[in-house]
Amino acid sequence: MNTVVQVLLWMAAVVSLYFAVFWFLVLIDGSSEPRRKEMKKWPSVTVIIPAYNEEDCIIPTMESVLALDYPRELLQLIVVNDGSKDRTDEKVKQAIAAHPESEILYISKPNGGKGTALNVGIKQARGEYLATMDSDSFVEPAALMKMLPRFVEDDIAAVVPAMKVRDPKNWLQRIQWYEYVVNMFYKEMMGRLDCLHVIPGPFPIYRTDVVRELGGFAENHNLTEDLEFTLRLQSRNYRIIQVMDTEVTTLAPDDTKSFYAQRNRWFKGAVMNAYSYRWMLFNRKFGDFAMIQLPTILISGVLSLILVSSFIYYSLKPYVKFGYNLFYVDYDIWTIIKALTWHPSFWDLDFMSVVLMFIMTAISLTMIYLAHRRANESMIAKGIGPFAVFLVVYYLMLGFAWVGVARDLVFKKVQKW
Amino acid sequence: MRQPTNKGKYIAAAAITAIIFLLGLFVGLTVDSKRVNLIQDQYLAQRLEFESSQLQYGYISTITSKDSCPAMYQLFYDNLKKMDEVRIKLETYALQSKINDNSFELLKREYTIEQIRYWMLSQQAQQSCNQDVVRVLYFYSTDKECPDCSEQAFVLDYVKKLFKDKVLIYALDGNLVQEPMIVALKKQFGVSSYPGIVIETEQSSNEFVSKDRILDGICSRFKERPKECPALIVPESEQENSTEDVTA
Repeated sequence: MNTVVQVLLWMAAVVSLYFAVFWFLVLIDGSSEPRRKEMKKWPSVTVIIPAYNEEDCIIPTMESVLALDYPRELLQLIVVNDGSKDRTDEKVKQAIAAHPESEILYISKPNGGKGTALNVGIKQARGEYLATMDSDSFVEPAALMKMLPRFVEDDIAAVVPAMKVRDPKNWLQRIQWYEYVVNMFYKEMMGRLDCLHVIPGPFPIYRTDVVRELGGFAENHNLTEDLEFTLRLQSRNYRIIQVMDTEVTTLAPDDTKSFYAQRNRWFKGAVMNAYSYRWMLFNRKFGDFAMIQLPTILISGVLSLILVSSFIYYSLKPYVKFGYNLFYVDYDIWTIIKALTWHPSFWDLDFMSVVLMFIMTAISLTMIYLAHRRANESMIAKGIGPFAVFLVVYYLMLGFAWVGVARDLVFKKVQKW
Repeated sequence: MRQPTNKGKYIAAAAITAIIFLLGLFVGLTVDSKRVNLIQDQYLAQRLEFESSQLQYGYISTITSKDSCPAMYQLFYDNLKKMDEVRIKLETYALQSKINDNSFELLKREYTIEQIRYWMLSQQAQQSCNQDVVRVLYFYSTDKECPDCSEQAFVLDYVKKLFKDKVLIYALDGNLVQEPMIVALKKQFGVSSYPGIVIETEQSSNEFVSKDRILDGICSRFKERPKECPALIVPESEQENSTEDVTA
């Protein structure tokens, strides 16, 4: 048993190191900023906001879209109320009344899931380009002006902005702020190899004809319709561009329960959707996406589970064993404490593991540093404490979400909106 | 157009990963060799200390004054303690080593012989200095063969901490059968399975021995019962007799 665990652990270490080295090579290969074209004529754009019980933030979200620096006649806003049970309906109507100069279409429908809400909006969209907008997110005014020129070639189906956590207040949100900065950097590198596997909900811009050609978003898809749609785009060899010069901000979960629920949904969605598209695996026709990104998604959960569980096992084992053994000496801990001696020696370190840990930590720290530099943010912008937690234990915390995912997949738990 | 597969990067990443692992292996090899040297140096120093102790006890047996006995015993006990610490370190190094198993095995054998030497010298010390100490031989084995050895070692370590220099515990790897002395001792004390505990000249327990049983065994061997021993429970009939004696 012990040998099996050791072999699994070493395999996980080799694979993790391989991925870390690979992305590091992509990084040092030099930045290839996505090209932009000169816009002779600005196209029409439709922004769709699906909403379900969003009475608290639907107005600010709509305001941020209506504040976009773009010709009014070329901008259409569609808000789809997916059977909200709160005062979303009233708030949307209030916002529409406050903006008589804008073209806003309001659709209220029975609850059917985010995918159905988006598809209802797509049917009514008149824009050449289509942006979706989560109802808890906010976009910068220049977003359309910056993103639309990135559609330089016909096979570019979507352009994705950089996403940051909006106004982080507590520790959990601050830690996520760091995570988003690093994730954006990682996504930029993925974008360089046409490897993006998810187009998040806050303000990606799509070509409307491509979205319609692909039949819109998957309905009843466990709230990961964005993931599924991205994989569908990849399977049709469409390209997705990640830009770093346009920002959207989103509200991050502020308590552990909603944080866990969100991550559980994301991770589960990633694995389930990637599994549905497993036929693309290692098919060169799909480039690096099939060779490295899809395998990464499929094994990331397993890797995470192995690394987290072995870390916990090896860290806690001596203490659990010590506690258990105390029973044999009638819990006379005082005698043991009195005789405690400690003669640490440099040569007592397990060097093979130390070398491996050192290299992986060095790569991670370089990535984190460069991510912050690329985002023009300080590494201690949101406090040293949250940064330290992010650096040391955050990925361990995410490992626990993977434990929940494994359990849900085994018991086939269904995700709800 | 989608970018073609970055084959070059896959190969480069594989090569760098392999280099990192080779580097780890090289570091492991260098560290193992350093560890072997380190333990060999400590072994030589302890061998010298042992010979000095042996000489001292040899000398004291020829003279009538026993004034220097406590200081000599303290030195002997400190050396034994140090040697046991190195033995534990050696066990850890041998477990971590994937490369230099043979060198560690040889060192383990040297340290086992040294333990036996100390055990024999302690007999001489008892005779020469009339020392009131109890000696325990502990035969252990690997986890697979001896699931209780870890708990037994914990209990013995506790006993060592409790009695300090009044109890001398010698841990011997029972599987080191290439060392004839281990075979001889196992035969003498009837060690047939692990853990095997031998208190002074008793036969081996050949099973896990609880703290209370070990304390009973050890405490009954002291000429003068130390304060660390649990209080003796005297049967009521004996108590009455002793009261009568006093009255008479």
